[in-house]
Amino acid sequence: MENLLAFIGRNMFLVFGLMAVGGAVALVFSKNAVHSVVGFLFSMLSVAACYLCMSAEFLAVAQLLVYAGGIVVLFLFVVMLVEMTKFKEKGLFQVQTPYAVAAVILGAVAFIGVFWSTWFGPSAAVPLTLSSPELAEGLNVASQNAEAVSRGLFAGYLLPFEILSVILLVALVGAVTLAKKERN
Amino acid sequence: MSMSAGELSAILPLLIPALGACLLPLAALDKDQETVKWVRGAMFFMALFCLAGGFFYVTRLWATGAQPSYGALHMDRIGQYAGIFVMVAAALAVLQLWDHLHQEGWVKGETLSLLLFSVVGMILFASAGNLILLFLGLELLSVPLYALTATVRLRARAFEGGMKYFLTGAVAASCFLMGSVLLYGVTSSLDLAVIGRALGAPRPDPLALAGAALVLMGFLFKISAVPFHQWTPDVYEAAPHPISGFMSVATKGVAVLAFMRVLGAGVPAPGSLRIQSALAVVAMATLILGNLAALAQTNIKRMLAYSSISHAGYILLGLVAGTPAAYSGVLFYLLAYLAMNMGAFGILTALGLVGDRTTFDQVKGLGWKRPDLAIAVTLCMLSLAGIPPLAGFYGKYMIFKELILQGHVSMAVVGVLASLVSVYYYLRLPVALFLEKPSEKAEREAAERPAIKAPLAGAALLVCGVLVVAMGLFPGTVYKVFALRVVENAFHFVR
Repeated sequence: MENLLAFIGRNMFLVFGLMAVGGAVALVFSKNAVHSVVGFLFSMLSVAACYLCMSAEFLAVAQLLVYAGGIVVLFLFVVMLVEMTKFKEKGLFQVQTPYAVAAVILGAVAFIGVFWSTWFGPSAAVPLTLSSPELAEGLNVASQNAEAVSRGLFAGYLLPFEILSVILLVALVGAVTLAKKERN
Repeated sequence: MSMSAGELSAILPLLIPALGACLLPLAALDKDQETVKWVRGAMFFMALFCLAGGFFYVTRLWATGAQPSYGALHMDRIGQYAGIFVMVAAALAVLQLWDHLHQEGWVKGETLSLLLFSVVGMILFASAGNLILLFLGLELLSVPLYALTATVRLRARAFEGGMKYFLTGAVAASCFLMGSVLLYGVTSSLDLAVIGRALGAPRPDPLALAGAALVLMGFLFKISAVPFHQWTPDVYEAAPHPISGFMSVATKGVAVLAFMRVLGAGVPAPGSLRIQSALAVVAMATLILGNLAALAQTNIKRMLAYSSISHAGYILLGLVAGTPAAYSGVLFYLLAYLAMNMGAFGILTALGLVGDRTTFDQVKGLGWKRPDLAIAVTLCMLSLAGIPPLAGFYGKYMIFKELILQGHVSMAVVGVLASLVSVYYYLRLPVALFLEKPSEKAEREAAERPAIKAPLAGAALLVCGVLVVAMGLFPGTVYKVFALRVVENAFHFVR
């Protein structure tokens, strides 16, 4: 028993990863749309826990706020507001099956190709790191990852960050333009 | 953090139109949606003022020869060329929009705001030096265009066209993003120059090639080259006329410029040879299909849409040749294309062809009522067809000459044949304007409608006509001042 607990403690990432996969399976296979959303929520929470295991606290909290807090609630609203009877669902989703199968096969081939080249191919000369050294200068990334993220957002990639906010504004203006009612 | 003067001057060409775009929705706020005339005038003036400000700032940079950059944003000669190109196109579109939106009875300030945002995105797209900025520029230029396509919602077609553009555009953008992710994964760099070197290696990584192919797809969608062209006629037909003109000119132009930057960043090598041959196939298909499909159209706007597809083919031929002279030929061609295509779309607004009444039948005999406009558009059409003393001829001549010098004679022959075919459908508009008689029913209907007044659109059309002739008479000057300088100063492989 002690050994098992120790094993789980050492492999928390694996445990939460499996839980995330379980949530995703529930999302895909459940017949009820609300159950699907709950499966999605479970999966998202587990992914947040995975981030914690990798000591990326900021990312974990952001994941909780954005996905578990925002997007899942939005999904629930949509599912509950849009009435989808079983019959309609069948007619809607059966049409796409052959295309879906083709897409899945294509994706699987690409995925296997990537894994093949990762495991059996030559190793990269430079390891792929997401934090460029100048961004993390003077920071202990293991404990100060929120600082590192903010430095990336507001110093290293300030211009893309600002442009992103402009794109959100554009989407807002565009939506207003398309939704404005003409009163006579 | 502080910003040096050079960094500020690199992003000012983006900031000036962006400021106007942020202010315009405030001017468009209204309680009962009935904007009074002076507010409408002020909105259009504001849009033009911002474009003029940006234009003068960029031309000033151009004159001093400064090439500032801010991080990965390089406001070098390519970026400045894009700035001048896009702002002139946008100013012509704003002038035409004033008349077009009044004809349609749908004057909203948000339209102008979206147009300016799109301008910002276009300049960013052409001056981006890394993948993040490139993708953000692509999105910032496309998202406003999706909304602009559907902006005049009184027309049934508008929503359909906008939706079609949005869906296909989203697929293209996600392909582009997926390609960038692959490129980043293989090279572990976002910098276009590093990626170009990795692709130019003797045996490039297959994943990198797949990424390059996906990114290429994103570009070809924006250029509307053949396998990715299906959206073009429907969207151009659905959008307001000036917006169609703006999309056909500016989107294609900046996509070509950004593509040139991506291509030019890499040293010519085996990797880029594959891209070159892929481009050659696409260019041939685009030329043949675009020109043949244009022959069968009865709607002027659809004809112009297929014509813009075929022009994408000529431009791609220039990129296939790939020499500095060919690149500067393409840059000259883009300037000529700006004038002639804005003029060609401008006639629709100037003659007041509202909504779907844009068939050849509708314009029969109208040329005698406004001979000045009809002559200007005839010049634009002849230039599009590539008749000698006009601007379009010199653009095609420079591209074909370089193709032949590079040994691609058969491609040049196909190009010449395609432009011979195009003479037929380009001449249909002048023929309808001057030589054909309107049916009696059409004449009666025209008499019932109030007389069309489109002074600004007419002026914009005349400007286009003058530009086409001027560039045809002095091709050398335009070539030296604009096209050649970009290639000399911005592309590293020339040195």
